[in-house]
Amino acid sequence: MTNTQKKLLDTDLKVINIGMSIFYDALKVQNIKVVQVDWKPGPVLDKLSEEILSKIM
Amino acid sequence: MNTHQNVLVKRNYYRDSLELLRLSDEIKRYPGIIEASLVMGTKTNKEILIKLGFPTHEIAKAESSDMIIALRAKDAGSLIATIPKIEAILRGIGSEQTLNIDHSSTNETHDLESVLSSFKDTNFALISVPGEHVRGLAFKLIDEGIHQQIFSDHVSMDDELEIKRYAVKNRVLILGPGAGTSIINGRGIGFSNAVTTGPVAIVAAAGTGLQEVSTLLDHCGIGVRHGLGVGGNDPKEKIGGLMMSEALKMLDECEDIDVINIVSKPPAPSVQQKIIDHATRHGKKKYVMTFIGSNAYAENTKVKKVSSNRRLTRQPNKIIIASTLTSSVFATAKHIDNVSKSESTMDPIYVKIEDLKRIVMTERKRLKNEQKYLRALYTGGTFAYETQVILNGLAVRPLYSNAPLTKAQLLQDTMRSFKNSVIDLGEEEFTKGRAHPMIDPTIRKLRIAEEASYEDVAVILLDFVLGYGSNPDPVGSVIDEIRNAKLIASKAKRYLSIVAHVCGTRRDPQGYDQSLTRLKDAGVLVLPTNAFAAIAAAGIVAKRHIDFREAYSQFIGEKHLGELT
Repeated sequence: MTNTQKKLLDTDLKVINIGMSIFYDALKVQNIKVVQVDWKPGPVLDKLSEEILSKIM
Repeated sequence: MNTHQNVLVKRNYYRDSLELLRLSDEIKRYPGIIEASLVMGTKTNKEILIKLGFPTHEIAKAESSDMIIALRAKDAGSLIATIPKIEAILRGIGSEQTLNIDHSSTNETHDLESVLSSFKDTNFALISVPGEHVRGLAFKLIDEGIHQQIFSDHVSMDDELEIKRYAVKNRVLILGPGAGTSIINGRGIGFSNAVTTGPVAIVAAAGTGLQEVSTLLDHCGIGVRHGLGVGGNDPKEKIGGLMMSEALKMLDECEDIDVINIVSKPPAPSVQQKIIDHATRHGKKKYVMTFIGSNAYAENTKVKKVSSNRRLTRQPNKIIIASTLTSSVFATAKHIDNVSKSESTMDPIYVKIEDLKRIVMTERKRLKNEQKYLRALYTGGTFAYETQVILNGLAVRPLYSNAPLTKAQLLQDTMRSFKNSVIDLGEEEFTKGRAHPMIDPTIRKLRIAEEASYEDVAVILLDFVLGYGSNPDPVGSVIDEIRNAKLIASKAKRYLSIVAHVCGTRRDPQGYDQSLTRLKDAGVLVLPTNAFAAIAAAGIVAKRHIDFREAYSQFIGEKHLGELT
């Protein structure tokens, strides 16, 4: 197992929740460390535009 | 009663389905309001609004990027008073900053970049945004070395493959897309149950399959430490079981795991071989391979017996094959008993043949001759699949589904059942733009009333999934419709059999025992597992009496003999 994988199974969970807040609430109830990202949809790009954009950004 | 209604369409106005569900529920409690539905203008949502009796011409104007506000009130005054209140709430939600940082993090930031920089040592991300936005997020998080559970549907298989290949290269675990359930170190993520932690790990390409196996093990006093849901596409040829293999390798290294249970619809032959090869050649644990309906699948697809299958049969003490979720639990218990030299009690989840037979015969006697068909309305996709395996095996025909086992059984109109029908309400056609049916009961409520009104329907089969992430009261949210369904039938001088099973544990927040009691009090026949519920339902509608001994042998496993394959 790599260190990245050990980080998941051998240490406490620390979660970023991106999307439905019901899942954030469910994690908090179990005393899991969690942060909710306020996500709103941006434009959906086709793959080519996405690649071009990622190169110039 | 005269009612007043209004439909408003807000152009290019996005809110996630859960916010809208909560808002709809809140507005239904306003004075004089009878019905309130705030939804995005997807095809399914528009169909539901029409079924709820709102005017077609108004609804038809909405596009999927528009929000529809549909209201019905007792009087015009209530309607007029409510609309500005909704507008105000929406403006409030729109300006609300919902980022909540707790525990160790102190910097309140709103975008992913700043969360990543302020929330150090994050090891997991749970993603439930619309599928078309997943790809970019997943790549970014892989670069950060963050393992992910992607609940979102509607991610293309091309994108899934690219994400997973990149993740394998970076030794990051991708659970999903379409993965609602995981358990890591006994903690549930997404839709999951409060199960005891113990020596079992589950790798599942079937979300409610993971929930069923982990909860049934819990009822038998056997704990689950890890449950990794890899998503339904992972065992398909195109994805090649990439994450199933990664998960197996990881779990094989865990010292506190004795048994690994793999739960999936029958994988593509190449993936199945890969899994079996791993277990037989390199595996360090005992394994249960739960390929749901694998016997029927092998017959249908004429899968040739590969060399690894021969190796498999030579290692019965290491590997057990199971074909239903219930038999999977018995197989896991058998392995655990061998490791711990103990004997687990399966009684909490077992129904004796003679008892089930008696229950079924009692129900059958109450039906009229013209009541011939079964209607299953499932929130859990794996349950819908398992039930079809069982109904096919017990020759309940003709059988149709919106998620059929074979193309010939595809239901033509998913909004309307036909003859024997098994409906998976979690399929994409029902969830685009609305919350999953484990959270939002609206569609199932409508369907229960509709199925009860048909004079040829004998049985309605239901699942109730408790646990974190699910509706706060799955039984309570439809119990009035269940009582009403029984009433509709009794007014028409017939009996309607309603069969159900509750997937959950006694520590789940919704209350397992209370859920069972309320269903039984409403006249529902409650069985301890989905397989038992499906066999019971089959027994009630089958043209000829089913052979219960044969049914148990195929789908439950000979518990007392320990012979499961």
